[in-house]
Amino acid sequence: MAPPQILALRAGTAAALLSLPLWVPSLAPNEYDGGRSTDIAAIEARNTSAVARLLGEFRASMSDMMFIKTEKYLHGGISYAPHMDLDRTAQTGELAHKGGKPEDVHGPHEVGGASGMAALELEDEEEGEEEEHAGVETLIPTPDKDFRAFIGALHREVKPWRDPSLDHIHDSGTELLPWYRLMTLSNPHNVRGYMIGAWWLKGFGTDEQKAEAVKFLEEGLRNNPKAFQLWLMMGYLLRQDGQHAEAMEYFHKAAELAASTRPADGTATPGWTDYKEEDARAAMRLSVLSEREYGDPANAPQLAAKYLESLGEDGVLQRALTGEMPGGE
Amino acid sequence: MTAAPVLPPARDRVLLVGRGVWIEIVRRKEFYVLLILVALFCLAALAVSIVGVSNPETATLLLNMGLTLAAGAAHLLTLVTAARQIPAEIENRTLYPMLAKPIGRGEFFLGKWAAVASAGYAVFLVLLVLVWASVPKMESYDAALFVQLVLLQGVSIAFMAAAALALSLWMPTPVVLVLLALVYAFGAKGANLLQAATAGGALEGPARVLAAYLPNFSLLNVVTRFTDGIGALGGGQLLGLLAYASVWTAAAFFAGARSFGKRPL
Repeated sequence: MAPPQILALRAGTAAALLSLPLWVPSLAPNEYDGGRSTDIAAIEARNTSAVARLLGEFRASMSDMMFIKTEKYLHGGISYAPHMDLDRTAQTGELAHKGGKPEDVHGPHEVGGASGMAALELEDEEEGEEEEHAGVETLIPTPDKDFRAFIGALHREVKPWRDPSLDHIHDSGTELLPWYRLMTLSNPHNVRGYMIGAWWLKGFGTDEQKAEAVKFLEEGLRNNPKAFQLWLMMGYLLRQDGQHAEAMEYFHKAAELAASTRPADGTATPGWTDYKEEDARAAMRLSVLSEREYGDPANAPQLAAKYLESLGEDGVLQRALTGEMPGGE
Repeated sequence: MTAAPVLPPARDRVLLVGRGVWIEIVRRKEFYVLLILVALFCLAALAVSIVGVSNPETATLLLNMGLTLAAGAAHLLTLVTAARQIPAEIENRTLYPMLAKPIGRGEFFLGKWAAVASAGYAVFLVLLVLVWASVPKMESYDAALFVQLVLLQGVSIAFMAAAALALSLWMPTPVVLVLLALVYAFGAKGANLLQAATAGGALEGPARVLAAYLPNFSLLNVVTRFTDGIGALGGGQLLGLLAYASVWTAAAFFAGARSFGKRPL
């Protein structure tokens, strides 16, 4: 028979082990906003170094490695140096490229501007569409930069390769969906994975896939209830589906969360990017505008005043406050 | 009347067992293989530093890889060492003369665990110093989080040692090695997968409970949080993580010690 102290320790351990489901879910040391590993500017800087090139796809975490895979799949299997602006893609659903012209990308943050509640609609990607960007280096070098002579030529023949000076070919995106599924299974806190995956699903345009997009976002919200961008995106999807009252609730929630997590001055930090700032503004504007149109119009100025307190200044909210509403509705 | 034999204090008996484990680790090739592996990484990092790291982000990437490698190598050495301790003693029949000495089975098990865990942690600290010294540090990191990282890796290694010792009593060594290596590398992902697969269904609740019972080493690894430039963990989170590792370590230890104590030899 073991001494009483040992018996007590054993009993205590058994009790603590049984209670794990009660307190383990609250342990989340690796759940935080931002950070260098997910910061697009930092990723871009890393990718320019020879060290990163040598490391290939092992240079990132599992879920970010999958983002690299999605770029490859999107370009018909051709490996280009990472150049997609994933934050922008997550925000708008557009295939945005780093260094692209800003006027080519229309994001939800523009909603509430001159076009009022007119939202960005994701254009369906056509199969094999040629995009006008070129010049991004391929990972397999061009003949003039390849010291491997015959081996290099063979490499370009047996692997998908395209002259980087030619326009890129973008596939439909169907093949990308499993990657976004894996990405979010691998890391349920990969908010960007949920957003881009939902954009792609919705972009296919069928009712079934729109429902899948909503389901995918619901899962994202269950795993990341504080990610205001997911609430905002769910609002977009519902509104585009004509469910304005439901969408309004999501916009309100997104705006509340954005206001509570936004740094006081809204300046960019590792945890608060410019994209988040734009999304936060979009959430607050949409909350006010949808309240005016589908909720209680008398409440809209109060909401506008509340969010203006957080943002400091915002033309759309200022006009909502004074009753001079934006948009031509 | 014959005087009762004077037993050495329990602490000395445990230390005696532990000393043998330390000598074995230093003599075996795995330690040197891991040391060479990390040394190669450090040489590469040094070479990169001399040539010049192009930007701070790349330096941070190297630091992240180095710390991950140090943690992984220390866990691997702990696993390999712990999993074969008792089976090898039984197979080589060296266990019997050891137990013929005035050493209880519980003390024997405790000595093995303490020695494997401390040796694994010592290896981690050595590798950590090598990595830290060789990798350029060009961005800011939180010093308090670094201390927490080192502390959490210690309890994680202690858990790995207890789990490997316990499992080695119930299943063949290669199975233990593969199983625990998979749990270390993919345990958290398995839990995520389980929860995602059952989300929204009738099995969501049971899956959530089951996922909480899957050992999750990645909870105890804050390397990426550290290199991401995020601040230290709050007191509650840190205590919770220490409690988490302690509960698992104690559970594995007591299960293993009990099984070893009752095992016919």
